[in-house]
Amino acid sequence: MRTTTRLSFLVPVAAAVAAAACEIVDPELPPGLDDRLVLVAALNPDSTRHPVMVWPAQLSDTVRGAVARIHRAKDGSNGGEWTLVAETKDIEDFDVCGRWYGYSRGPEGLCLVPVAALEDGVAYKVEVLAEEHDTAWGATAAVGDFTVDAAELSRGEGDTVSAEWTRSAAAHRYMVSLRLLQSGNVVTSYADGWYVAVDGTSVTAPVPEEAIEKAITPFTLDVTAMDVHLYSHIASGNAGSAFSVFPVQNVVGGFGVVGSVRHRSLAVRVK
Amino acid sequence: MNDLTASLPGRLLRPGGGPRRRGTLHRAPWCLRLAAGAYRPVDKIPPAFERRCIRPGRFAPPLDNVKTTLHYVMSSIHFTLPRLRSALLLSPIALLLAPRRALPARRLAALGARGALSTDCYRAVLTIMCLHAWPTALSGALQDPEAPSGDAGWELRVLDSESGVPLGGVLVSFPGLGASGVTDSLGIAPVPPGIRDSLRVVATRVGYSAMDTVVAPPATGSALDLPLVRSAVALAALTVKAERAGANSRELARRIFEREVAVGAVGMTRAGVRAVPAVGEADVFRSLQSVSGVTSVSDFGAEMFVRGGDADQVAVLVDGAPVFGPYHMLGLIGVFNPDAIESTELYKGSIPARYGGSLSGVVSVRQATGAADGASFSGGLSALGLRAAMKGALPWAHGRWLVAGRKATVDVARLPVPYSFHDINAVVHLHPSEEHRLGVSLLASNDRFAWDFLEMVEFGHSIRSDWTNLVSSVTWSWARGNRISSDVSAYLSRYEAGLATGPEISALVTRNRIRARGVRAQITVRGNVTGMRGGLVLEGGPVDLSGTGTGAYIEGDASGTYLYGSAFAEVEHWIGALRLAPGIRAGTERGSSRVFAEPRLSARLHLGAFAVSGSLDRSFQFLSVLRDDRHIAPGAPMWFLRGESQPVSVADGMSVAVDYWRGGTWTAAATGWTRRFSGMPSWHPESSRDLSALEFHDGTAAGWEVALQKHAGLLRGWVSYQQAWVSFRDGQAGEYSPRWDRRHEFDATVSIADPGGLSLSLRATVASGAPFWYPVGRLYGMAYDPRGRVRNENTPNNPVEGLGQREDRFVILSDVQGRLPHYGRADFLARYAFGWGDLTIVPFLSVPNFTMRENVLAYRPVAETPDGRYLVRERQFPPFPFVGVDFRY
Repeated sequence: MRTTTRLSFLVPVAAAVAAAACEIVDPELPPGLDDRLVLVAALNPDSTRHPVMVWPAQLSDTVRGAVARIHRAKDGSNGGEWTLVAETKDIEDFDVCGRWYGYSRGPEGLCLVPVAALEDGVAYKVEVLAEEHDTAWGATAAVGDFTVDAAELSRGEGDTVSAEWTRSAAAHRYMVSLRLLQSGNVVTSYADGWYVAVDGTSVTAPVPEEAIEKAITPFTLDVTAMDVHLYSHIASGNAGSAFSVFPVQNVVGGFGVVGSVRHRSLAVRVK
Repeated sequence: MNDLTASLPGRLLRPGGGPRRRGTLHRAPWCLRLAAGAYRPVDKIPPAFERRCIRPGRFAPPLDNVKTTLHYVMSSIHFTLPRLRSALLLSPIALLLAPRRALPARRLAALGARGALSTDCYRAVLTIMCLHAWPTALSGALQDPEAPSGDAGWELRVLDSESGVPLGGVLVSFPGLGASGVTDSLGIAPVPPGIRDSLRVVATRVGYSAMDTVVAPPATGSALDLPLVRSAVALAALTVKAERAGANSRELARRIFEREVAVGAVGMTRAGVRAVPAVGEADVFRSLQSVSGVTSVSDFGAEMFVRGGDADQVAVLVDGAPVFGPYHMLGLIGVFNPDAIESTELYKGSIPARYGGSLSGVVSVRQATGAADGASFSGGLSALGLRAAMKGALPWAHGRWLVAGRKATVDVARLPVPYSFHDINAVVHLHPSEEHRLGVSLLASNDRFAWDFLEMVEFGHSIRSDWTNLVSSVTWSWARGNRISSDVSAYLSRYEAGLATGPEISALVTRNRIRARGVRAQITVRGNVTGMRGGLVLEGGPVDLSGTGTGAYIEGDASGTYLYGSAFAEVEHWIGALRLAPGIRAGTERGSSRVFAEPRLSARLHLGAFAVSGSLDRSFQFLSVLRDDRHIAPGAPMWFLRGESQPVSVADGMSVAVDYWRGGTWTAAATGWTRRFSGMPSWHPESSRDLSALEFHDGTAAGWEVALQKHAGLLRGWVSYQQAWVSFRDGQAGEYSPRWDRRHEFDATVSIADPGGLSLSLRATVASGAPFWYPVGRLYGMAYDPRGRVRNENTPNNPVEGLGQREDRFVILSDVQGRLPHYGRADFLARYAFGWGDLTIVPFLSVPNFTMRENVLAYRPVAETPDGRYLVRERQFPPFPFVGVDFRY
């Protein structure tokens, strides 16, 4: 009797072990799984042309009849009401957008370039509509005008860059870098470059000797103001195979980022 | 004849020195008296002894204890006889009084309320006297009529040599006459009549040196004083071994069952933890994952999902203090050193009112202390960690202590792998008196992932995380008998964490810092039919969550200070076989000015070996962990304190259970439960991780489970099955299944412990696949690129400058959910213990997933192949053998 009880106890265990050895059957991929779009747009008030990259979220999908629109937030609506300020259905060569955004390779998609004059600090919504796809949109505030007042490189045992600039409306971070020599078309590593992210309007930071050697002469200091969405998007995420973490994004109804960028430069005074 | 078997002492010889006669001793008082007195050297024994008292044939090994026992029995009987009269007078009164109060106790004890009840002391004494008196009287009545008896003549009076107090119950024998007697309360022992010459007398009594002397009849008077000298009783070394409550799984389960009426309270002993095959080494959390009603979603995580709730809804306490980051190695194992843990209790769903601040469960870990008989040393080495623990008794005071530590093996060996961790435990328990105890507990831990491995960035593994726990508590416990006890404790729990996921990681930029301090006072009163527990808790401190900077995992700032004051009361009342346990917890959270009331109602009906329990409860949670549930960053939990306008998490639940206890071996339980959640923080839109874009979701969960456990025997273990449904609604009323929504789950853990030292354990889990969102494509990463500017000069009129393409390509998940293939894993553990003096060495081999099933963790996007589209698997834990060794000294 006892032996029987013991064996009875083992039966479900053995069954579980057997089930744990069963073959795995992957689920079928449902058709028409995702109708959302990926859009990337970085609005620059210094330009009237605003390239918008669009591609389907689902691989092997195609986008037809795409329209890109830019809306301006009505005064006092706090982003609740919008006014259309630009629209385009013209599809340009995706490589144009790709080059502008620094994409050396990427998805097959569309490049739309609506034209509009943007005002500093005002909220804009970028919206993309396409046949048989969900409408994707994202909103941001156009970063304001600013100027770099001083840029100085102190050479010595520890090379140091010091710079000051004026505040830019709606800027979340200022990316500060020494302009580099072009060493190829493919960006492979960010460790090659030197830049710092600053949330104030001045910086004093050491610069690696290697970065100075790679910089173009005469030295030029670049300061790029970014809004919170663009900065968060480029600064977050991890695509490692072990732990994949999606970058921060702000597109509703789709994926990607709608942000704002503006940059200024100044020749560096070497001390 | 009686059942007592004995042999006569070797020195009790037949007249003439013949061979010892062996047999069964007759229990007649005369025989017993003579046998008891015969352990002193004698010249001869009465010829009638062997004839009347020894029954030949039956024999048991000679036991000195038998002689001593016989002596004590005889002394006791004869000490009692003079009091027989008063006992007989008292016993009817006692019989009238005692049962009236004892009956409920007996009935409740039969119902399993052991330990919670006691009867009044004096009535218990009366009862015992009553029960003792009658057999004693009968014993006297059965005295052998043929036994020698003394007539009036002269007598001996035995006195204490120091105080002169007459000694009763002294066995006085006259070897020359073959007679003996016992002194009465006046110390008088009559001398057989007709003795006019010198007489050899042997007098013995416990606590006095035996006197073997020759006396002469008194010249005057009728009594001769015989002073006995006090002497300590030298007993053989006595080792008392008491297994601590919780050392045995059945004992722990029963203790929790009797203490808690709430449904779903279970325990795990240290031995139970070791018996479960784990990843690398024994782990508390992974062992609890094998318990019924506990779900895990990933082989890489030791997190527990209980009763439809998220992992952060299970509070983890060590000696009563909260631990906010209770994991090592990005969540692979728990923070608790298995050598430093005494036992663990888990409350699933229905949480007693004395616990607050968590919706779905409480893991209460009690740290171990040493034994009273000296220090012991234990430890081990595994692929994960090198650990050591020392514990023992304090040499200068009544108290016990423990010190333990663990460090990552790769850290010890300085191997270039991207993690390191360590933890330290320290415990001191002082017992200044029987009623008071002072306990001090400390747990410190630190984890670092990729801290010193910048080269990892090159491969896209750009996660860094570190977290530190410092948890300490001081508890003063006071108990008065079994009726009243109280605990007052003060604790501090500091947690600091950082997490970075971006490409440029020069610092940890999402930071979480908690400094929780708390005071807790509790009093427990136990009665025969009613008991109660009440207390006050005050906890608070700053909680900072800030994520602003390059690589921030969370964007925004949610810093604040909370102060959480509450009072709780738990009442128990027996009505026949029904045990009612209403409880309530009420208080306020100052930071958000919220007032809350959490009713916790439980009841249990005992029906023989069965017990039917039910619970209704409501729980609030003010601190929650924030994470993107679709794209989960491993590592440090990020705790979030709600603002005033944000809703608090609430869970309402109901559960019913039937428990079955069969002897000391088997237990079984069947449980059904349903729960409703609201105010669960989540992100919207997907992956925004912006604190200003948080949503608060609602959900429901329901399920049932059955569990069977075998606690004793060569083969031990438990099996369980659970079916559950969990569904949540987002801000747009869209329903989704959280990733812990496993519909079916079967767990089995069995172990065979061979007395020879070999033990084999097997754990198998078969479960429905976890929900997942179909991956559909990729998002190409973007970065700031200083070099882009040069290229832009070649592309004039570029409106976008300074941006470039990252190597990272992120998986895009659709809105459509599916289920992963069913999950199945079988783990194996073999341990072999062998000794070398006081040292016990236990090498072990642990093989997770020995069936080599490629369980799916997630799917990567579809890929185009000539055969069509397919999903690419990301696999869970591969079959990988771990070897290690534990030791104890």
